[in-house]
Amino acid sequence: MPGSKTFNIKGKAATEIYRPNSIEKLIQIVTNRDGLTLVPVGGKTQLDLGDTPTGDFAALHLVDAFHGKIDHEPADLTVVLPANTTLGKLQATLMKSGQRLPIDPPNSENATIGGILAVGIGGPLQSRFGPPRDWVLGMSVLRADGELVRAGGRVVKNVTGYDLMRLWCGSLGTIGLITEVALRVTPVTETEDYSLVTENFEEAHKIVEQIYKEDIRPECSDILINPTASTLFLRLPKNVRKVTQSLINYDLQQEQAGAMYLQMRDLGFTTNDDLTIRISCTNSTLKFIIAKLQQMHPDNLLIRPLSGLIRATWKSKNPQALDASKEIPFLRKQLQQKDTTIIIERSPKHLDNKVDTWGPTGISFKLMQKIKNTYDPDGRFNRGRYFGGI
Amino acid sequence: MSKNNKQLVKQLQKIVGAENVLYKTEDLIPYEMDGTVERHLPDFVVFPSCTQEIVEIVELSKKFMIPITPRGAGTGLSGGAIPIHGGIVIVTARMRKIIEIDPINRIAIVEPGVPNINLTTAAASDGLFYAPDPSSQKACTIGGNIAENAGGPHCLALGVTTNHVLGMEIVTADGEPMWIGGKTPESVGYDVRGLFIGSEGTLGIATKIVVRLLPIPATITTMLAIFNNIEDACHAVSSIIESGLIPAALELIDKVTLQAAEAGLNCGYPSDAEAVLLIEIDGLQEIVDTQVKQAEEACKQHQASEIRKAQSPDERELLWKGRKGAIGALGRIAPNYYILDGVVPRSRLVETMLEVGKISEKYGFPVANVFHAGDGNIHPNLLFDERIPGTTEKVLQAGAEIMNVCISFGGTLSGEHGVGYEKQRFMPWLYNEIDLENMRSVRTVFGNSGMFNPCKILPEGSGCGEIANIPMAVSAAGPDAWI
Repeated sequence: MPGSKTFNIKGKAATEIYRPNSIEKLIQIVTNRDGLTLVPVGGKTQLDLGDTPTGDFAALHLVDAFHGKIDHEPADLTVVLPANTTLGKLQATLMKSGQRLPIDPPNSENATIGGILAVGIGGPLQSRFGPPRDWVLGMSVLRADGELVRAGGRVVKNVTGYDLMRLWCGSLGTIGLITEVALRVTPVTETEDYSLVTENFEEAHKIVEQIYKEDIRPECSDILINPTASTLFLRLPKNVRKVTQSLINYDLQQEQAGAMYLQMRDLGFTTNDDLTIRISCTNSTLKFIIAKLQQMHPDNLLIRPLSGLIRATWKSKNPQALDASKEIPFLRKQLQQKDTTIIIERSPKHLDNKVDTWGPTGISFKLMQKIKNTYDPDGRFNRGRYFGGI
Repeated sequence: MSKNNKQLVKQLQKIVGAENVLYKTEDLIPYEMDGTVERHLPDFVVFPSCTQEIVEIVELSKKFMIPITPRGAGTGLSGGAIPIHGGIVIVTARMRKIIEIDPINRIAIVEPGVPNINLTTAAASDGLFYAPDPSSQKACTIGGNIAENAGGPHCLALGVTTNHVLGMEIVTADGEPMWIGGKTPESVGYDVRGLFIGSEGTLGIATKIVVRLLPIPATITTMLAIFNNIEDACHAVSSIIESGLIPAALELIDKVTLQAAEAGLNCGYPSDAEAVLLIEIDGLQEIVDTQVKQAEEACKQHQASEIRKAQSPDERELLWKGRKGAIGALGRIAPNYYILDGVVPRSRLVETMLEVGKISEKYGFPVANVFHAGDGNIHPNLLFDERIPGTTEKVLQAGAEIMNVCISFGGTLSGEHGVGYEKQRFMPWLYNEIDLENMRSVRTVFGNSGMFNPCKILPEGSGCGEIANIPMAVSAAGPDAWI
């Protein structure tokens, strides 16, 4: 809560709460040897992700730390902005020129751009536009030693130097705090939302495959399975309903613009104390994994086939949540050979710390440890919260 | 040959077989250069056939403290494969198996020496293709594309190599084999895959690569819009993008290049036009029809004198043959050409072209322009004759000035060819010493102590700049450029 004097991560209370109002003050805090690890906080939409910090920690609120303006160049389809800008504010600015940033993680209106990129996950639009990191042109980052460093630029094509932006995206702030970002943006195109109730996942999946192969290029193609129905949600370019229907041989139900999209985007992130897991897998393993998950009785299963993503949620009242959480390590083991990863995105209080958020490490983890040791040897940022205890 | 080198040859032969090690000067000469003007002879060239052999070669190089330079097809345009300090060049030419094409998951697993075009050809029967298409795609390899994060005309809408590679087996600069990324779009932990792509062979060698394949577009319309001056063509590019349309490709070709391409390749280009835009729009017929009209309107608004559409796949292929073969065709009008690669914000294209013209005039080198206008990625080609003493130095100076113009307009040093050896000294124009030191740290992570593809990407100080023309090229841009 704004102005709150307490801050908890998975039931563990922060020793200090910092809220710097300038970059200079932020640097002072980062370089101050207070013996704590700093947990960066943006719009607070993804704080449940990650393990409990190791040792005493301070919450580091970044929402007031940067004061730059949103510098949008519509003719170049680029924008440079301070990392504490909310996605909602950015989109409103871009929309004035008929443009947008096609990144839409759950509950993202109030999420900050820095936070979104540090977490690195997308939403329904990822099926068409790829992961958030694909839209980053350049970044400035504050390192744990208090140095501001930069990589990339603000042009839409750039191979000048190492692509550190990809390293910073999805790193959960463990190797630096994102301070400024240059992004590619895209023109808004006219779309229409449709739904289709199907017999089961296989039927919906078959339709998505067909739509993709026929080059219809949907912006979103999510499948929602709950105990009562399987529903396919499609966001299609305007004026292709007829041709799509004739190609797939199904009638599409037009939906009110936005409502179903938000349901797909925010699923698993709307109420407190849900167990929400995210699975990344190949197209050919979707069916097998969904069958496994259904045995664990989730309230909802969201499948984003063109992104290789499944999100399963158990509401806090679902008595199966505890058993499901116990099953996750076994499921991970079963799927190890299938290039599948399972991440716990949110978990109810009574399950906190019982299941490893990220799953087992592989041989390339050695490189990741070296990366952490190179850029944050003392664990100043988010110590213990990331993959493999980084 | 020294005793030490004889011993090294023996051990290399033991790893890859005697027929796969070169060490005589006459055999080494083809490996002293890539597509740039710089050159340096390696001491040994080896052709491994598998990951384990590469591991052993890297181990051996560490033991003998001799540098390694990885090489694909040698088509690179920034000197990335030139062995500046000699040593061993590892060529991936024998590792050219397409291990698997998996149409259900729309991925392929390939070895690094597979030529780019072979992948698309092999995937075609499943209705799929590999999107990055550098102009050298008939020769350049997937491993080389990873090193350079290669683009191509079709990356305007589809993205560059990093957007199409899911995972890799690599041998790190330290000699350790491992997988980074996998077969799915998301892996847990730091995106080491993304860091490795575009690292220009300084962090290791990719030995197996998982790439994404895309469905072949339902329909494709390729158009040629003809203009009476290059500025109008540049303005048309901005109008197309501003109208909300992102074509599959949007290429600009100027008069000098058009004439060379037409003379050499008979591709049907109008040789009297000042500039043309090659525009490609693909997708569902219903959408393509609307977008083609949109693009036509934008071109007409900027005085396009004529718009031609390819009427058949053969005609389309001919138009692309001209574009992709354009640079090679320049050999008809000058003994040498220096290909530059810079990027500017799209809205600054007109000003940039004017400045490029001024520099060309100042130095007396004609310039031929053919480039990816849609993303502001320019490729001025300076035409010269290296047989005239002092000319190579002068052309490098002119190139440095053009790079400086790109940076002054808010652009960058390379859009797709990489920094390599050619531009490492210009990096301080863009980044301060802390930024560069921050990038340099990445090498330590992968165990590169300075012996793995030395003198590439980042300025290394003494030892990497003895070639006389480099300081001259740098000084051409003026001391103020050093920030």
